[in-house]
Amino acid sequence: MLFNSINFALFLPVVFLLYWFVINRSLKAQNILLLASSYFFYASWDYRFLFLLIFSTMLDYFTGIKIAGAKNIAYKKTWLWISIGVNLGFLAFFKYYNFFSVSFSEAVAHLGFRVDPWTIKVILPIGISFYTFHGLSYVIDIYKERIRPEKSFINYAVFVSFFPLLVAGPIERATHLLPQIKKKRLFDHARAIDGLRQILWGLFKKVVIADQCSQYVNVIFNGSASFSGSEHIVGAVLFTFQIYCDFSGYSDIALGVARLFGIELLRNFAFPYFSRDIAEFWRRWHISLSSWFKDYLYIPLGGSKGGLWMKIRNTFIIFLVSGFWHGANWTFIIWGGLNAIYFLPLLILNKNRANLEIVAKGKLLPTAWEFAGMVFTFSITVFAWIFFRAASVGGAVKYIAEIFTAPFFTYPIRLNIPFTLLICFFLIVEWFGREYQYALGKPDIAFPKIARWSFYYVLVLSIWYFAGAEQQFIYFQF
Amino acid sequence: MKRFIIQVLLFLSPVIVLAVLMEALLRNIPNDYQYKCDYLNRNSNKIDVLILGSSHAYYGINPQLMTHKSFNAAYVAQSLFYDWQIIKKYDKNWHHLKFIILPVDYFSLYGRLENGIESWRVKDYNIYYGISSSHYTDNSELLSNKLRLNVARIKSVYFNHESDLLCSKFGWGTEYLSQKRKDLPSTGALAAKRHFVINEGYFNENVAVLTSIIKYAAKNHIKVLLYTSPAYKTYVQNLNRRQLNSTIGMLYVLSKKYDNVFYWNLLNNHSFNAVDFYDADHLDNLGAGKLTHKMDSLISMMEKGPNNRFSSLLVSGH
Repeated sequence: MLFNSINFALFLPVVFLLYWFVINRSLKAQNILLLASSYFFYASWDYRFLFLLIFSTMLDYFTGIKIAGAKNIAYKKTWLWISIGVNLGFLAFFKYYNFFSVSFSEAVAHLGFRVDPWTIKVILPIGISFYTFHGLSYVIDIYKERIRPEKSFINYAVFVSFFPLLVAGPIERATHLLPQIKKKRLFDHARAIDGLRQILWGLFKKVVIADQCSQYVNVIFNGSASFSGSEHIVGAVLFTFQIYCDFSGYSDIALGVARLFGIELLRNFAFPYFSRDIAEFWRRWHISLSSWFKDYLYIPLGGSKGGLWMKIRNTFIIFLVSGFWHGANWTFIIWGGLNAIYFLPLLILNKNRANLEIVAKGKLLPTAWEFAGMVFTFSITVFAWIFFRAASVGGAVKYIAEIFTAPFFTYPIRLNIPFTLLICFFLIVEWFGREYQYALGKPDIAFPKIARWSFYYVLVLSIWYFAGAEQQFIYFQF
Repeated sequence: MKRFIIQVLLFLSPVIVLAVLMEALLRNIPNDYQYKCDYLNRNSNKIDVLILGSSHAYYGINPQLMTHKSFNAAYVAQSLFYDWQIIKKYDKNWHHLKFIILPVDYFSLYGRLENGIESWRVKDYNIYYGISSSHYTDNSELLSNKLRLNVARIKSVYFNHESDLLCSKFGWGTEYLSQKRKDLPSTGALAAKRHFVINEGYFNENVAVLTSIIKYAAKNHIKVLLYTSPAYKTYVQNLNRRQLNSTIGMLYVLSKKYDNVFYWNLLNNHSFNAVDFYDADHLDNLGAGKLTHKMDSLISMMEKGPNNRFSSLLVSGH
């Protein structure tokens, strides 16, 4: 059941009305409803993997209790490693087994031996990377004594499986989400309206921008040989918009839906393409994953405490692991490695925290220097996304080569003017909303009701106009 | 809370009104599905020859040129499942039916309408034929197609006064005229690619449906004339041999097994030239005339008995 499907448009109001009208007096009943609807939501993809989700939830729930109740450190560690081992074991089996098998076979082939890879035909359980990280953060936080284990299995299961975040995040923390699940929630009209507005903007980004971009991107990336250099550039730039609008659109919908139920999720995107350097970009892109890696990998590795070299080493580890988290393909690892290389000058010059505030805060336009920084950061990001999008490293290299070998200065014939204007409209809205949680997050009072509603109708009609075959969100595959 | 619900409903009401209006407008557009269903409702008890199948038969056989009272109930992307559903729908009415003509082509045993790019057509069978679908969106014109296509359809019918009714009185597709011929080499390669189905999961299911049609026909003393449609060489050359051979092989098996089944493979038939094709896998009006004549002659001969001049072309259980 995709967020951009009619099924979800029916599912959401039903759960919403039951939640606020039928069982609004009992927090426990509300949480049971959230859990049941989340399992229904998940099972609508493939009910078989629901058992895996339930098993993973039960494992972390019980290991959390065992760790907290452990009498000595060895016992505590044992339970921690059981949880980490099983969670990562599932992830490794479903997501990385074939990659390791094929890579091993290729590696020994270079040494002159022939080993046929043992590959398995297995479907990747949707959302496994996300709910595994939920569970791991919970268990590690208990081990580090940051939190106490949750006594109620229902509450814990809702934390792991809450349907808006179940399949593609944001990757939540027990410290942030569990207290909200345990607390009585009251309906807040303004927050609910804000939630609907965020859902609307998320749908616009997904259906109108991302899905339309994908039509160009797929054609250009799948047959790069017959396109000019400029069209290759257009293809890469459009993918840059596609992946942002696809994933941040999903996150906006998730945050908006959660807000309808009185729950605030972690912000996942903060206008990353308006970043002036790559460090700022990474503070604004997939924030919940970046902060997860920072807290559970970068800091345990020593963070920046051991001097410049340790900082560089840890930064490279974070980016390579982050790339690998996205998928079992060398393209993702190279994408991660490229971003680490982009980061390097900022680390050496100690400039990685130069731009903490949003660009041109309180002003209409950025300065020329800021604009140059934004264009440069955007350009190097586009280059890295080529590796992320390509099916193989060879395909990415070929794509880049085609940019320079094919006629470079020809007008890109596949550049559709109305669609380009639509992207410009999207960028303008994002620019004017950049100081808020999301582009339409500006308080209502700024415009008269008729202007606001007209604008919303334009969004609704464009979503309706461009909606076609339901297209899956890119991050569902991770 | 109530304020929220009222505000949401208020906001959505123009959108809902617009949607209902569009649904009503779309459903009132006369179309081929509705026409064919209406025709069969009135005349299925008088038909001698029923033509079923996909676009290859829809554009390929003109009932008006046949000796017997015939009707072309084939349509674009119509799968064997829907052929079978149409037969069943008029189960009590086939008093005169003697022959069912059914093309079984390269893709017929491998695909399902519900899973292909033409899946939006499922709603037409649901809405106009009353063949129920398990998916609720198939009850709506609006929910089954893109808004831009629905708007274009409303505009063309209600504002430009164009017709969506594209078939002749007897159900034949009249659009593919020889004057409008498409490029045969490029359409051949494209169609072959489009019709190649990697997933073999539906093969047994489709064979079972075809067998049901054959058994039903046998029970009701109806002969089933299966054929593989003529196609231009640029299409045939690009076909996957495995998929093609397994399809044709199955047709031979069925025609050997059942007495009421006859199979005619016209895929490489040399009597069809470039001028007979609208594109590489569809006949134009000239080609349709030729194929219809062949079918008509065949039916006449078959009525006289199995030992006729066509017997060498056909495979049957006789």
